[in-house]
Amino acid sequence: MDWLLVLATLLLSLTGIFMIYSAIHSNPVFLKNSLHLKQALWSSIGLCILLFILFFDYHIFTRWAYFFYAIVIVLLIVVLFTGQVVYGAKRWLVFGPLRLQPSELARLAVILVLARYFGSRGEEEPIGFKELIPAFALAIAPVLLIVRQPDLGTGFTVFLIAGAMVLAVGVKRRVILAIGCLAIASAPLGWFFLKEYQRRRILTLFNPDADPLGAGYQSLQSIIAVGSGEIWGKGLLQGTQSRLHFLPEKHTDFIFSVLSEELGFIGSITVLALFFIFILRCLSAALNAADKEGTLLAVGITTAFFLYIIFNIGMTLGLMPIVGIPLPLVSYGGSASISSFIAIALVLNVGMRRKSLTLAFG
Amino acid sequence: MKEWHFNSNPATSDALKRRVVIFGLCFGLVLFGLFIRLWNLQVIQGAKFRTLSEDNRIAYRLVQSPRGMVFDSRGKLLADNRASFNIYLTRENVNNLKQTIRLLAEITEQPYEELYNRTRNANPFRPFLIKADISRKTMAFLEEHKPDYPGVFVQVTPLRRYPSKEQASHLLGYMGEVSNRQLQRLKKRDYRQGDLLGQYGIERTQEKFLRGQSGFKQVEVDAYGRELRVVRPFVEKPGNDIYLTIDMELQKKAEELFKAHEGSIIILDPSDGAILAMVSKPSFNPNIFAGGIEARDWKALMQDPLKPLENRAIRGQYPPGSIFKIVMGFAILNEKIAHPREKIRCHGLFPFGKKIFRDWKKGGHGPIDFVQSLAQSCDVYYYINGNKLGIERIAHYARMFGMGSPTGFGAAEKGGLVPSDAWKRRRFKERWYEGETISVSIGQGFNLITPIQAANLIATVANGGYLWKPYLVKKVLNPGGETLFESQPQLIRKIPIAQEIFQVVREGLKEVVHGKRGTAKKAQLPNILMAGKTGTAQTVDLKYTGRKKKPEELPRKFRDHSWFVAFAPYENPAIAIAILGENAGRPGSFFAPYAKELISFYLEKNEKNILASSETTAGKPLSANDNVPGIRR
Repeated sequence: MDWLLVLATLLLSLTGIFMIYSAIHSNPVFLKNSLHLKQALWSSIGLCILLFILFFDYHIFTRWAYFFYAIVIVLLIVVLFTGQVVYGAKRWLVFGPLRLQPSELARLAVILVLARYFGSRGEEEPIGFKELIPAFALAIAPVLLIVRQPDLGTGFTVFLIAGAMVLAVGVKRRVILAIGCLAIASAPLGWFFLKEYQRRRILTLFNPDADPLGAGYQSLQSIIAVGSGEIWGKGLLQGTQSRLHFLPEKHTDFIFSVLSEELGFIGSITVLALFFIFILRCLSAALNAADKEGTLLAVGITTAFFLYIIFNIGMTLGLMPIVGIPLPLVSYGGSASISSFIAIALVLNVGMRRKSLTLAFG
Repeated sequence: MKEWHFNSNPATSDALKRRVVIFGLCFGLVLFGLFIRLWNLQVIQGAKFRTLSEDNRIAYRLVQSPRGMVFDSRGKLLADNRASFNIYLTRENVNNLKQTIRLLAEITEQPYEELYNRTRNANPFRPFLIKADISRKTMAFLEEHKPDYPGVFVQVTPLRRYPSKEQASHLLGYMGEVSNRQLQRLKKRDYRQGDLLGQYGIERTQEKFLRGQSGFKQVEVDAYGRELRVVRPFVEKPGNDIYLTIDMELQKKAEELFKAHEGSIIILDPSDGAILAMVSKPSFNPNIFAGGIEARDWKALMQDPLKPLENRAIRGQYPPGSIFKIVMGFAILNEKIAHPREKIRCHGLFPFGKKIFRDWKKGGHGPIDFVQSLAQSCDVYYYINGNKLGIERIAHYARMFGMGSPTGFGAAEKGGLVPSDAWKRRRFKERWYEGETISVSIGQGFNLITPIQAANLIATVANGGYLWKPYLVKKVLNPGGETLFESQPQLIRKIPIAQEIFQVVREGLKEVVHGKRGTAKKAQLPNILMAGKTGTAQTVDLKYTGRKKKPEELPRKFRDHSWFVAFAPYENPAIAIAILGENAGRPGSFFAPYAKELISFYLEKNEKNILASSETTAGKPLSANDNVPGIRR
């Protein structure tokens, strides 16, 4: 087992719990509901699931990948019709006291199904169009369903993860060229399909001061929060941007702003370093995987974590448009936490099963 | 388990491994980019953002110290401040906007659609005023349901309150938002857009004393602009308190007596010109102006044909009618046109040229001397002697007693009119005809007088020739109770007429009330001697209306104005009063009982003071010295 990865995971989760407490302590409703303790509970459950998963070989998961994928597609369709509306989007499925975000599962499903699809492929030759089309179909179906919720950020990330896995497998040069051209050509078309508020968010990115009380408000307030932390920060629970509610969604999407404000440059680069170690250890699992399937699984999961990290932190630093993407392990959220732990479990699993292979050879 | 590895999954290839390493490098590079951004924001630009976050956190909030209060001469409260509750809404914090707006529209009685649209267009992060000055009941309801409606909150601001409502409204005045033109003038003196300032009456004239100082306090605010705590407070400096010369009990009494009439009552202290009561009817409720008057109320006030906002006491100009005979009396005696005991024969007619001037009494008053001419208000006596005096001398005496120019009491005061040859040439490009002098002699021609001038006239007669400038502000005290300003009576002039003549005129006026054939016998009090004069001022020449019509048959504007002026006690005057019934359509004697009631009310209330002062001044003629210590109470 990769103890460094486990340590990074635990440290990040602990940081999350502390920062969530700091973010909510000025909000009596959240505080009464003890969101920080709930997060601790989610993390503990996640940890248990992680340990449980380690008992099984990751191939069991890839073998059931298509089945799992089909279930997720059904859930995504169901959520479009019966989902609970939060902030104008249907993202949640409600089962009694439990709420589930199928898009969290979709990410994992696409990674598993693509790892299975490409992993069973023996030849060393780069992928051509013929092979790419079924893979594209597998990836685009959940993406479109997620975009319809609408959850553009998650949909886009899932699509990028799929793309990264394809790149990892290796693609013919002309395919890359063709896709590149197509992407550039369709970019204006995509702009046309965006909703007004989504366009405004993207435009704001280039000029956050244009409308400081409108679309740019959240971005600007987050930058102010981060910057005002200076080197040592304002101290835990002392962030005025956070405490006085200048930060939006501060216990979920903007948790990094709270952290940067209160713990300063020292705190934020420590967390960044923890994520760097985390990513490196995940990739190392991919490098040392027993087979192609394992490598691709680890690469997909690493890419997913990486994208979430840079989208979220990029957003809080005013480098990315504001999309509802949480910071893995740190942001508040049950579905997100548990799915993160499952993903880490799979990476650890890939890293562990390598030994069985060497043993088998030895 | 092992079979899987061998059968279906070939080992990871070198090419794949290479690509994974490239992934790692790319990921590391991007994370390094984030590191650079963090370094830039937190280390390089950190100080700038620290300042910005402080600016966010600390707000400078304008604090308006409370306005000074207004009291009557005995310390009864006339104007103070009350807390008013305003509802605000911060849209960002609202869970269900439609539902919240529906509730607010209902409790504030506004149309839902309009409120919803107004709210939707407001800045979502800044509090938006839903309604100012809500009732306590609404406030209580909101406080109770606060948890159900996040984003809705109530803020308190002070507003002016006038406990006596419609009473004394013209002299107290009202508040209003500063106009753009006023702002131009007042910008340097700490006024801002949206500030309230006195727009009328004492509120306006004493603005500089009453206004509390404004300043800024530093408060910590959250993103919704809510105050969390005060970082640096502003020490309030309230405005100064003003004590008026008004006796509110007397004012109240006068207001109630005059409830059903239009016109004015003015009561002066003849010893120094202090205004004891000043009524103008119809009046208005200054409280409706306090938080900014509603368009509907303003329109109603402006469109009322009776013009309730007009202060008739100082701005109403009316023909004096027979009260002008007081001035005529002084002119006749001082110019030695007639000896007081010399009698003329009144047949009820005075033919002049082609015209015949009639006495109000058919058949006339018979042989009549000066005192009786006043007592019975004989017109013929004044026709004859007025004709002898001529318009210029009449005008001279009218001006001497303060007519034709404002008393100087207030800025918006009107001056009335003293007609003369020069005036007529200026006004009508026409010479003065002697027949017009005869009309003027009984106060009927072009002459106009304001109620306050009438009051000042009778007060001057009462005190033996001291024409005081009427005043309303007794003193100004700062919040610590120290006197900042205390009014000194100001003498406009000492009338250069002998006391003997004053005595004769006063006797005539006493006979008006107490004489056998006096016109105001209804005003008699059992134990106090009083002097007065009635006046009935026709609004149009009788030619046009005919004589015998009842007032009810005439349009309001053609009905007679009714005057009654009086002072008491006769020997030692302590109160002077002028009553004008605008278009009352009654003889002047109609209001004499009102004067009686007010005088007895005031004198009974002040019995001790008056008795005490009567020992010092009774019977002694006043000297010509401007600052007579004996005549001020």
